[in-house]
Amino acid sequence: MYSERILDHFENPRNAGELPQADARVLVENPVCGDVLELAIVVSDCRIQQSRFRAKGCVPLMACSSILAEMIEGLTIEQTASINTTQLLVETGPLPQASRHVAEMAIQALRQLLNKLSTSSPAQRY
Amino acid sequence: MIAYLPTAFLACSISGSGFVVVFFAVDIYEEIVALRRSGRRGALATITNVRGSIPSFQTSKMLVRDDGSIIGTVGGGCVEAEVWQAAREVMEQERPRMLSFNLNENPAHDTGLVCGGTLDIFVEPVLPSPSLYLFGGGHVSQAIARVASLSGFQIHVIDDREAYASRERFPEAVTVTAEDYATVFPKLTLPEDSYLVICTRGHRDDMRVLSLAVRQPAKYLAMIGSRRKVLTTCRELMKEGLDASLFANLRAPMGIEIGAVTPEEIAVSVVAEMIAVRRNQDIGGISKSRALDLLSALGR
Repeated sequence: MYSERILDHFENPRNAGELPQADARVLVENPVCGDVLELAIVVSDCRIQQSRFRAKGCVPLMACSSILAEMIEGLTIEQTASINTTQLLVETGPLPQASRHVAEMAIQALRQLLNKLSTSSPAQRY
Repeated sequence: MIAYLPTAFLACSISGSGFVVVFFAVDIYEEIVALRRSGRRGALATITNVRGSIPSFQTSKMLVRDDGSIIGTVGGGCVEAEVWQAAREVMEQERPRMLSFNLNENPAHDTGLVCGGTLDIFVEPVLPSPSLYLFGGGHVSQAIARVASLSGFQIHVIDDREAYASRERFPEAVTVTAEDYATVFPKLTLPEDSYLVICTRGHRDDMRVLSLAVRQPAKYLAMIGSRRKVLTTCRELMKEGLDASLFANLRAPMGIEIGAVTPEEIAVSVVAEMIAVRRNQDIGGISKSRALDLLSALGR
């Protein structure tokens, strides 16, 4: 049902936890299924130095969040801004039809995070 | 056999008799009508096919509004979240979509999709009738109103002359307003997908209306007149301080190129262009010039 990569990230999540010194933090929620994802980053020199997530929801949400948080760490803001749902799904491997919305949710969190960063610390943007 | 009683939400399924009674607290059909009347968008999801056990029933419906709120259900959980996400894309893209789900996942992972059945859900856009605002109540506007009404547009007519802005002249219009153009604009709450056609008694009024209309959110903005008149009007407004970029979406001369001469033929040409915009069709080859193209070609 789930790829080995999904199950691996679910059972051994990377970059999970809080980031008290975050430069930007967002919380997104799916109002229908109740999934919740918090994404936070520390940025310096226009590069994401640290990323952390906390999530409450299904297996694919946990895995997608873990994969995304791992993906963006070390990337420039510009590189991070170019990540879309299709790219995330390439990283996660195939998801069941009923779970693709979690990838959309993770990307939505990333977009909101970058918007928040650009308004709170414009100099960090690029 | 299924019966719908629009009173209380989701009640019972009497499977023994093969007769299913479905109650709704909020009548989903009334909500669709209310949504469309208020000019808002939505998407309606309907379970069209069921095989095996699912946490809902065939024909169950969920309406997703453009603000993300929902009424009704297609079973809840991950499936409903997926349908909600798809519904938002369907209302944006204005294209229906069929989704299929397998609820026979491994219970060990506890995602809730363990009922064992499969289901198909059809998600269709619920869109308001587009509104056409006709500025000017002359014979060309009369013809446009008739053709546009037949094509599904809701007609609103504005003219500063009571004799022209009348119910007798525009029986198909939703609203007919006899008022000065400058005082009407602040009162208009135009939806972003509205269609504006400027066709007043003369070029001075066309210009005044255009100066107000270019600042409005509109899916379609057109003005009657020859290329020479369009250029003169735009140049004059630019001298008054309007930026040329404001004319980027102005379709003028209006309509597609079919050699239209009479008011009725012009109406067909203009409404054809409006339909193409509504249906996202590329009509670059047959559309008349856009004002900005004209300005650019002649060095403004």
